[in-house]
Amino acid sequence: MAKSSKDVVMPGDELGVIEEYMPGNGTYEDDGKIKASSVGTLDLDTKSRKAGVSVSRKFSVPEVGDLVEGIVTLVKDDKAVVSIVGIRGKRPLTGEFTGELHISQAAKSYTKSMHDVTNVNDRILAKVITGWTPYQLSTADDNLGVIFATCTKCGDSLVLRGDKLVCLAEKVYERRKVSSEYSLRE
Amino acid sequence: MATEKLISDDGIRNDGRKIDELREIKFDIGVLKNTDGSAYVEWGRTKILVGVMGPRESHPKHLALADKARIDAFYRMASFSVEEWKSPAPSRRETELSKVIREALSPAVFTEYFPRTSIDIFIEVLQADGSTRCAAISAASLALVDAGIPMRDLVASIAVGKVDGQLVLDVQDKEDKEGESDMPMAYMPSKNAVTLLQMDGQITQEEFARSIDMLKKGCLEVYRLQRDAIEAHFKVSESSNEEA
Repeated sequence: MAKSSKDVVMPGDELGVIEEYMPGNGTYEDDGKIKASSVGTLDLDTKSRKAGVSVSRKFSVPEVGDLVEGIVTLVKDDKAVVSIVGIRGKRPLTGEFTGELHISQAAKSYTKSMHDVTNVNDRILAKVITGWTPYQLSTADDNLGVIFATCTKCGDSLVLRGDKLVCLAEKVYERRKVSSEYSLRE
Repeated sequence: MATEKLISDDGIRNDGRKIDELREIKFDIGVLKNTDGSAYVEWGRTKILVGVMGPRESHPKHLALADKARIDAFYRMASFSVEEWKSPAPSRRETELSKVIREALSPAVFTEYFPRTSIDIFIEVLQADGSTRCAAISAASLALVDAGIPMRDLVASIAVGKVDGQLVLDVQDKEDKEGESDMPMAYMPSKNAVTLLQMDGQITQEEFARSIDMLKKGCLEVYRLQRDAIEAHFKVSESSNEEA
């Protein structure tokens, strides 16, 4: 019952032996045998000698390097707590994960206070830099930071004017670490 | 005790099956929208719906495990699932079944991939006609696969009972209540590992050994049906991906 590439495999199926292949994605090694751990199509790479499964349905959990969107739930002087509501490129979440944005990861330049970076209820785009809850986040890159914010005074949406956020109703500027993907522009 | 015979003289059970014959089993995968993975099983007249949520953040947080995911099962019977109305309050039996189902499934799941998260398995028995724990375990392992959670193997489960002095495969409610013994087993076929083995009633050692053989054969039949269901579901979702 030797399997060949493009075969549909499911958990427990034997894909080969470790003398022959390295265990790749969606597989595990059990007593010298490589077995599938997920449902998908088999990928036998004869060049790199890797047996992997191109997984057809994958769990949705933040992993190091993922871009996540979250809502800021708490801002302290040195950190902000973020409720992660979605992971870009992965299945929608059924729950929420907690993330933390530390001041040292907020921007490339010196930041005096997290209150200059974000505020409660902002929607932010961040990169995950640790592998478990509370996930440590970073917004240092240009494309990362606040992607939607509301006015602290009146609750209207803030719009991007130049590189600053402004409330058109109250005519006040607000300080944020703004992402280059900010949703509203003047 | 038994007023009518449960097995006729030519070896046919009161629902028309032979003594080593399974009921008609139908698995359906991916039936719920708001869960990460789901499965529905019709196992004769037993009907069970399973939803899996997770891996997701563990609440309350002090119960989270630092090195692996916490698996929780919630076995619940609908009030209309049995002949007499069942109180909706969780019973002693439901709590116990939640525990054994959780322990039957955990060896198959790679919990160490998801530290500090929890995987919740919700099992709703809509109609009960015996072997609900076996049907629940078999369907739950499909729901876990549907959730995309890495697993060592599928878990297949079946029960053997002793009725009218004979060993029978896949016990239904009447045989369970009026028979002499009931023995459910959960089994990981490609690892050849038993994850659940329970027994009530009394059987001899020789009958026990024969039961184990019957259970393995039964589990392999359930396993084959599980594989068919996964393959069918996988093909459907593949083609719908192409359309999108």
